[in-house]
This record gives sequence, C-alpha cells and structure tokens, in this order.
Amino acid sequence: MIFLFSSNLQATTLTTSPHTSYDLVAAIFGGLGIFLVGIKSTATHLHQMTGGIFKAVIAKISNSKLGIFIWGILLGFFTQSGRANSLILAGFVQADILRKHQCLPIICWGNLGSMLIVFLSMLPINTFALLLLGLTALGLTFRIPKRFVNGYGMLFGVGMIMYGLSLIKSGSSGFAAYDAITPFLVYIHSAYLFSFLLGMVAGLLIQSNIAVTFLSIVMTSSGFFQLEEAIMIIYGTRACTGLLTYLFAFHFQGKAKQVVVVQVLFELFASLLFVLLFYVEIWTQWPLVVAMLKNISTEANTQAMYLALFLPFVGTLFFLAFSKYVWLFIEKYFPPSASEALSMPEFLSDYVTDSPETGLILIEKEQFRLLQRLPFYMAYLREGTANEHKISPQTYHAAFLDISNKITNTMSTILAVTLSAREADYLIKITKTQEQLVNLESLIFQLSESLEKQAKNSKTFLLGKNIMESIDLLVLTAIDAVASKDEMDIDMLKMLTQDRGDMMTKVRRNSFSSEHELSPLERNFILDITIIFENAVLTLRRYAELLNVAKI
Amino acid sequence: MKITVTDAQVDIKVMVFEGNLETNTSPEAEQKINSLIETGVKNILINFEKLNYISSAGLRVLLATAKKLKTKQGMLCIIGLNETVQEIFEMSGFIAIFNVFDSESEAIKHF
Repeated sequence: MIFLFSSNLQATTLTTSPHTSYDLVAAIFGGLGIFLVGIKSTATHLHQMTGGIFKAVIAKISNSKLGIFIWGILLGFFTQSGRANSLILAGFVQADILRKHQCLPIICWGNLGSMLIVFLSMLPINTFALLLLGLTALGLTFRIPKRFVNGYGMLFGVGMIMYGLSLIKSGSSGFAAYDAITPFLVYIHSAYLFSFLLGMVAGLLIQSNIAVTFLSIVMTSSGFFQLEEAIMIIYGTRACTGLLTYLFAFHFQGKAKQVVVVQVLFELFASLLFVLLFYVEIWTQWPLVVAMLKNISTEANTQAMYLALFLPFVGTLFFLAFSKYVWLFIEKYFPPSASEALSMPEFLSDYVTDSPETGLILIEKEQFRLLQRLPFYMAYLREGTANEHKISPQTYHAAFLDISNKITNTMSTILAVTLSAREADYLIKITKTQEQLVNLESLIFQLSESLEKQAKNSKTFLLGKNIMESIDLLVLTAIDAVASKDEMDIDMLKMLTQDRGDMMTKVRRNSFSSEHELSPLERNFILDITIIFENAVLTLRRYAELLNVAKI
Repeated sequence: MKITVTDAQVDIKVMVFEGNLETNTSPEAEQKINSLIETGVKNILINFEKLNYISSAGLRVLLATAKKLKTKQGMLCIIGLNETVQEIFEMSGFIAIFNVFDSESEAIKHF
C-alpha cells in the first residue's frame, strides 16, 4: 500500500451534462451501496485469508509487549472491527486460552490497526479503482490460481471501497454547490452537536465506525463537510460503536464481559475526551487537536484522516499507561459473575510437577473446599434466596464441574512425573476420593433438583424434607471428619452411613401402598429421592473408608 | 422454641424441647446444653414429646452434646420422638448411635 500524504481524490465524472439532483442522489446512494459492500467484502476476505491462524497464534501469545503490539495491530487490520476483536478475545478468555489482562493492550492496538485502512482514502481513486476492479474481477471469475481467490476478493472489495467513495464524493460535492442545500450546510457548520449526533446515527445504521470515518473523510474532501463536522462525526460514530459493542456482548458474563467492556470504555473514553478537547479549543481558542491537524496538512480530508489515526493512538497510550486503574474500574462496576468467582480454584497450582507431594496436598485441600460447599445446596432449598449466599445449586454445580476438571487435569500432570511409592499411593487415594466426591456432588445436585420441583403442599413434601435434613447431617459430619481427621469422628461417620437399602425399600413400599393415593408424579419423586439417598449414603461410607487410608 | 430444665434425679437433668429445633433455634439450644455441662452435669435426658421437627442443625447439636458427655463419662438419652422426628432419626442413622427410649422411666434405668 502506497501512502501518499496529499489528497488525490478526484471526482468521477458522471456525465458530460450538468447533474440533476436525482443524478447526485443516485451517485451518493449508489456510491454508498458499493462502498458498504466493499467494506464488507474486504473484511470477509481478509478474515478468510487468515482463518484460524490468528486463533492459533494468539493462543500462544507471550507476555512480550512487542508481540502483543504486532498481533494487536494485525488483528485489528484483518478484522477491521474493534468490536469483532473484543468479542473474539472475550471468547478466548472464556475458554481460558488468554488471560483477561493480556487482552487490554491487544484491544487497544487493534483499534489502531483497524484504522490503518483509512490510508486508502489517500490513493488516486479513479484510475486505480477501475484498474483494481478489472484485474481482480478477472481473477475472481477465472480463479487463477485458486489459492489467491480470497486475495482477489479482498482487493476487489478495496476497489469497490475506492470506487464507491469516488461516487459519493462526486455526488456530495455536487450537492454542496446547490443553493437549496446552502442553509443546511451553514447550519451544520456551526452545530457541532448535530454532527456528533449524525455520526452516532450513521454508526448505528452502518454498524461500522471505519465505514463512517471513510465517508466523513471523503465528504470533507468534496466540500460537503468542513474539518470540524468531520471530526465530530468521527467522535459520534465511535461513541455509538462503543454502546453497540456493549449491547452485542449481552450474552457474555464475568471476565469475558470485562474484556468487551475494555473496548466499550476505549471507544467512549476516546470519543468523549476528544469531544471535550474540541469544545475547549472552540471556546478558549487554545491550539489543541484541530490546530495540530491544520498544521499537519492544509487539506481537510487529510486532516480528518490523521485524526482517525490519532484518536485510537492517544486512546491506546492512555489505556496502557493507566491500565491498572482501568481494570480497577472494570472490576468494581463489572465484577466477575458469582459462578466465575466460584469456579476459581484456591489451591491448585501450575507448578505441581516441581513438587508432586505439595501438589497432592493442595489437591486434597481443593477437594475439601468442594466438599464444604455441598451443604449450601440444601441451605438454598431450605431458605431460598433468603440465605446469605443467594447462590443456587445450579451455579454451585457448574462451578464444581469446572474445578473438578481442573483437579483431574492437575492429577494427570502429576501422574506424568516420576513418583515415589508413597507419592503414588497418595495419588491413588486422592483419585479415589475425587471419584467419590464427584459422585456425591452429582447425587446431591440431583436431589436438590428433585426437591426444588416439589410442591410444598404435596403429600411427599415431608419425606423430601426429611431426606434433605438427613443427607445434610451426613455431609456435615463428613466435613467434620475430614477437617479433624480424628478417629472418633471418622468412626462416627462410618456408623451413620450404614446401608439404607432396606429402610428405603420400606419407605417406597409404604408410600406406594394403595391407601396413600399418590399421583404418578409423586411416585416418581419418591423413587428418585430414595434411590439418590441410598446411593449418597453409600458414597459417604466409601468416603469415610478412604479417610482411614494413611497419607504420606 | 421453649426449653425447660428439670431434675429427674440428683445427677440427671431433663430438658424438654417445645417447638422446632432448626437453624434458628439450635444456637440457643446448644448454649443451654453447654451451660448445663459447664456446671458439671454429665447425664442429660432430652424429652422431644413436644418437639414438632428437627433439622440437620438440631441433629448436630445432639451429636456435639453426645460427644461432650462421652468425654466426661456421661450419657445422653432421648425420649418422646414423634413420627416425623423418628423418621429423621432413622434416615440420618441417629437411631443406631443414640439411646432412644419410649418413656422417661425406661431412660432413667439406662443411666
């Protein structure tokens, strides 16, 4: 790409006769349509060209600032959308491929990278656009060679951008000369807020601040807008894009949402800071941004182009310099979700292979932490949202599965290391404990689900309540035994977890006898909870027996 | 919940629980029992005739009491379980580890 630092935008001559207003409207609309398709096509083909490369590379991104800078710029350039970047990175964070703090600089540099394409507005549009369209159309039609198809598509998109811009420029410059338009132009030349709102509306309709930036640059070169309007339109569209990004991220939660919020704050901060500077400059006549742009170039469209690059650059520098405070703000107003906080292990470490013994001890602590959460499932049912935790069994269950997976992965890591005989025995014990813990949690979760669906006025309500209190007592006793490792507590747990098979059979028989007149739903309920209870007691019994196994 | 304490014999205290022994009322019950134990009481007979319901919190109070009395070579006996409380005792396994009787006289003989 050749960077030319003077305006070479030439209006395309539509016809040799004077233009009617319909010709001009057609030029603008047609140009806009071609331009927008070009933007979309360029972005799509750029994305297809890179495909999974970025995902693979970014997953391995180091903490090197240079690496993050380069990949941030490239990611922004190839996706052509700060919003898309943030949503992609949010997905990576959600999948634990990236840490959220790595995303802030990538997002910031990505915003700058996505704006580099505005340099296209500096190229000689007419001949270049038509030549590009012609050549790439041939490539697309005959697909020679086939592997360059995405490249042809991308360049064809670039050609459409340039040709669309030239049509818009010719249409808008024609309009600018119309007497009927003059009062409107006079109004907007001084109503900067109107331009800001126009930028927001354009951003909302076109859904791309890059596209709106291009349009404002080209309409400035046509004389339709002055520099100040173009500036406010660029600020307005950035602010709108920030808000839209927040709306698009409604399905993200926790740290993934925090990553998207970085992009939102970037857009809003950058645009509002520059709006403030703009008005300060207007009111005080202090030479700030507008003066700087006028010093760089005498042509309004070039000035607007530099602003489009300057804005994300300043935003990036600010966010990088104050990233700590940015994160503090985000953590305060967009805290991790309850389930996310619950899914964070407290004791697991990445360095278990350095000391397997320590790793096993930490796994055991993590298992105990999970065991301690099981009574909360029952507490929620007992007290509903009135309980201090206000966290449902479903949330606890999801968090349990997350941490359980991490425990399993950690055990696999330790297994790959050479262990002593005692360490191997300990690992076996931990593994068996994990099996029982997973089983127990699953049963308690199933019980909580069954109990939650039960109506309070049902005939089986009391049975359900009694089973709930009984299992709660047994789990609490298990927790005491694990905490104290006292022989008396372990023996107590064993005594309490004698087989309940006969007892539950009696309960079922009693309940199903004809005198009780239970509905099929109630019968199913009794069957479910009595079987769950039997299995839970058995699992706790096995858990108690494992407590007796000596650890290292 | 209402708890009344009387003397069955010189060395046996009878505690009558009235109401529900649940999360909200268990701390009070535990405190009353601990006060008795601190005064040197080793044998406690708990009468649940007027108790409507017991939750896991209440069961844990009984468990803790039994452990404390055992360390002092004392004993805990329970009488007067209604159908619901009886069911909970059976399901939780308490029926196997606690001394449960049908009447006060039977329980006192056991001490």
